[in-house]
Amino acid sequence: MQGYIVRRLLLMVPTLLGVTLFVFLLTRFTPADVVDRLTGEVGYQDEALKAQIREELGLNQGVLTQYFKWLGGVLHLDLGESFISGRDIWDELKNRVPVSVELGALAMLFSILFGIPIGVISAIRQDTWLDYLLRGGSILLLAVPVFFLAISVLAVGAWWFDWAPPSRYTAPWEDLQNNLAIMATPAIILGLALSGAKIRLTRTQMLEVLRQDYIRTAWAKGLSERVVILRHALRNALIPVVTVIGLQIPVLVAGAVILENIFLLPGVGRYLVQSAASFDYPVVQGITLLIATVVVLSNLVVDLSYAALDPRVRY
Amino acid sequence: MLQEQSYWQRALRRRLSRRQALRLAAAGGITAVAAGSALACREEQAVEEAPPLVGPGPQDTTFEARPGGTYRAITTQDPPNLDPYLNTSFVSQTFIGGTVYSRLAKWATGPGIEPLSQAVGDAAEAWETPDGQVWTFKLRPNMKFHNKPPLNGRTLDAEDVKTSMERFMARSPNRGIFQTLVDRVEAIDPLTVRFTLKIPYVPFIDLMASPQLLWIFSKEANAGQIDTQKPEGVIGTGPWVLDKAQPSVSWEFTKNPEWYEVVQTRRGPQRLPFMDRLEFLVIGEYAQIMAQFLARNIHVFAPRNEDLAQIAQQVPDAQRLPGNPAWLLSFYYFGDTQDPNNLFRDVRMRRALSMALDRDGLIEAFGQVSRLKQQGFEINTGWNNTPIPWGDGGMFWWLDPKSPDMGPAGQWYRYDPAEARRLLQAAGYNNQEITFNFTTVIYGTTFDQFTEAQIPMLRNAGFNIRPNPQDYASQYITGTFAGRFSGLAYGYQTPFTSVDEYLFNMLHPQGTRYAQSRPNDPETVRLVEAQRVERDVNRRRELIREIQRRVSDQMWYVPSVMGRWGGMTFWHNFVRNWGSFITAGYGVYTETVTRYWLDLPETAAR
Repeated sequence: MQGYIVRRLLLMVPTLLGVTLFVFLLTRFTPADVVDRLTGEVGYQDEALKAQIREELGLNQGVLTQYFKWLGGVLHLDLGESFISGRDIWDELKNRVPVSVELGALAMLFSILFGIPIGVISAIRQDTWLDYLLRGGSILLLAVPVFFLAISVLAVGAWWFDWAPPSRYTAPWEDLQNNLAIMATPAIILGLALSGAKIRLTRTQMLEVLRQDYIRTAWAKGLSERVVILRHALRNALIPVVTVIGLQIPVLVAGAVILENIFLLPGVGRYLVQSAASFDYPVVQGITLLIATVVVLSNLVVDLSYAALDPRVRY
Repeated sequence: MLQEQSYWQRALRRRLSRRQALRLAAAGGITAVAAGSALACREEQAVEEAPPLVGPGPQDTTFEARPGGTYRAITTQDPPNLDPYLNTSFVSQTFIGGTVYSRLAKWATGPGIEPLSQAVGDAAEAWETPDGQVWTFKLRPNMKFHNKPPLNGRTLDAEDVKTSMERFMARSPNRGIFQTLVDRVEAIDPLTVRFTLKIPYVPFIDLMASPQLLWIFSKEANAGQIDTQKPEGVIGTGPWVLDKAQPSVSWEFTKNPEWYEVVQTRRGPQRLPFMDRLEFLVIGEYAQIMAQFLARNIHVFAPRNEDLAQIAQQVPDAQRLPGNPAWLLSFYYFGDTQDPNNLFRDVRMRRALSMALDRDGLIEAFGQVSRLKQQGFEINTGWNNTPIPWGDGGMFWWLDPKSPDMGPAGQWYRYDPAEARRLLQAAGYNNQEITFNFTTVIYGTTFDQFTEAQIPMLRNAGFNIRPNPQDYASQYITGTFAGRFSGLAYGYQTPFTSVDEYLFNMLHPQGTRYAQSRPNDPETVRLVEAQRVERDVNRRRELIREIQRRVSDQMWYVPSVMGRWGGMTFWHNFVRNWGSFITAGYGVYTETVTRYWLDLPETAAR
């Protein structure tokens, strides 16, 4: 097991290097130029100023020199400064990562608590009106884009109930009640979006497991429905669901990018959108590296969790 | 009694709406509710009119003002940089420059004062120029920087102004205008600063009042001893002090208790700003801005025109003010019109293009003007002249193309595709393909749709055009906008800060935008130079009007009407002085909002 973990961690290095190089080259070879952005329409003909800014930002050096310089900084946990705001990127991320982590964790928690039980109910009440309703609901959740759901909630709340979500984020350690108030709506919306797949998969897996011989044996032994479903069936049915949870991390990130913008959360996703729109290369590179690391690590965690869920799996 | 009745009518209607909403929710989920709501809104808009205006209206209530309270508004994004010298974004200029920093002069506001028509002192108490070439400014004595370290409220002096100008000319993307004008700056004594220009330039004071140019920083900041890009380094002498910076959440300011402007109120002399705090929530999503206004979490909101009726229904006690669009020119240009191979070298081709445009039709289609007027909203509209656009900031100089004052040149603005075809024929145009260059995405969906809407008009007048949408950064701004293209181009002009910049940059061979059409008219050049040295404002205005007539006659640049319809701004019913101290541009939080006050009980949560 330890050897497996070490191998996987070592494999992360070329993966992340590949991601950083790809994103670095992508930002440098897009037709848009951050210097044009900084000088604006008023100063676009001021070549002397543009050369000065290029030098200040280190953009007058070769692309590979710029890359290795940036990479050297990353190894020292220095992501550099934003080209646009001039502020330290790491300082900015330190404030924003907890917001996105909290949103992601709450959304995932909600989707698990909501999606898995619904999937189980749908399976054990197969082909009843309740099953049809829950299946229809799960397909709806899969089909409706998260931004539409979010804007619908805002519009209905505002027009009919004079309600608006809290407008000012506070950290949980400052004011837990207000924090949960502002987090609840986006977390539930994102959780609902994530739970559609979980409902479908849990139902399918449960139906398959419930037809296994050992489940028939459990029924024959006279065990209660609760014990058969929760102890014997669900644990085995959950293995692929755990895989899906891991695969949903990128979906979670993408959803967070949208919801942070709509629900005024100062998270990493919002920072990414602002930075990408203004060609702020170092910020885009830093956030991409962060997200890539999270996705790679979450995949590792998912793989390791197989062993915990299924005794037959050994690394 | 009447009020009670209307209250119950409103309440009943809203309760029914909620029931309908719940029924829809039960039947088909939230998407159906959203769809239902949209339909219901449209239905209400179709049959109901805007409620009458409430409150004291746009009148000066300064004498009744009570100090205190917090004014909440929004910014759609964070300031990209906290140093307004380092970028040209309107967000940095408005929410940092326009709150924290002073200029030498600012624009007067008040009842009967045309926005941006009179420069008055800001950091400067007075100024004089014997010849328009040497300008001497006397600073206000005892004007202090905000009480934050390391300046700790020290007094502003001439060296601060001098070093600000030097840093601006070294680093600001806006420096071009000063580079061509300013020869040197001297600090004569602690309260006197002198600018010597390369040429006599009467509108220099307009540049000093411009809220995009010379914000005054401390000499320590200009020397790099204070990091002006960090919140703790944002220290100016303006009316608001940056108190709390939370990127993506809010930008919060407290009043500068030592700002210089004092007004008379019923309670005696009162130092501006009236309000204690200014808070900008960072909300980019339109639906969220609307929700926050309806929930009364923000005090001001400028909805899209299609939502005006609904907002007026939903917040019937809100006060509202029609607003003009900002001073911005959308126009056609032709590249090198002195090139014998350029089709648009012939004035008839350019006039034909102007006559191909149904300007009123475009304004009606995009601004929904008639429908809104039927609903009781006052919506202002206007046509751009060339090169002076219609809109807040330039009304004093703008000549209405529809007015008799235009003279014979007014005929080229008439929508007449048949006459346009005749002009093309007379010019010998034989249906050659003309590339129509424009950019997409960068200016927003409405701009893109507006561009598309003009294409059939041009074709209908006989132009055989081939649309050529271009990437903004790599093609349009670096090529077409700089005059390097063949055919025809369409877009926005740079939003210049003063009338002279439009005239000089677009019409004078030394102007930065001259290459867009390369007008060839010595008399226009003479007039442009003459208005730069004319000290009598009315004579200068007449010179500028004459330029508009000449350029309209030649149509070197053909003005379109993108965005030339006004909108409506709503304030909640306790905000006062919102309609009497109007300015335009980025100086609004100094020139206007310092005079706002909140008509709330002393004990209310203000």
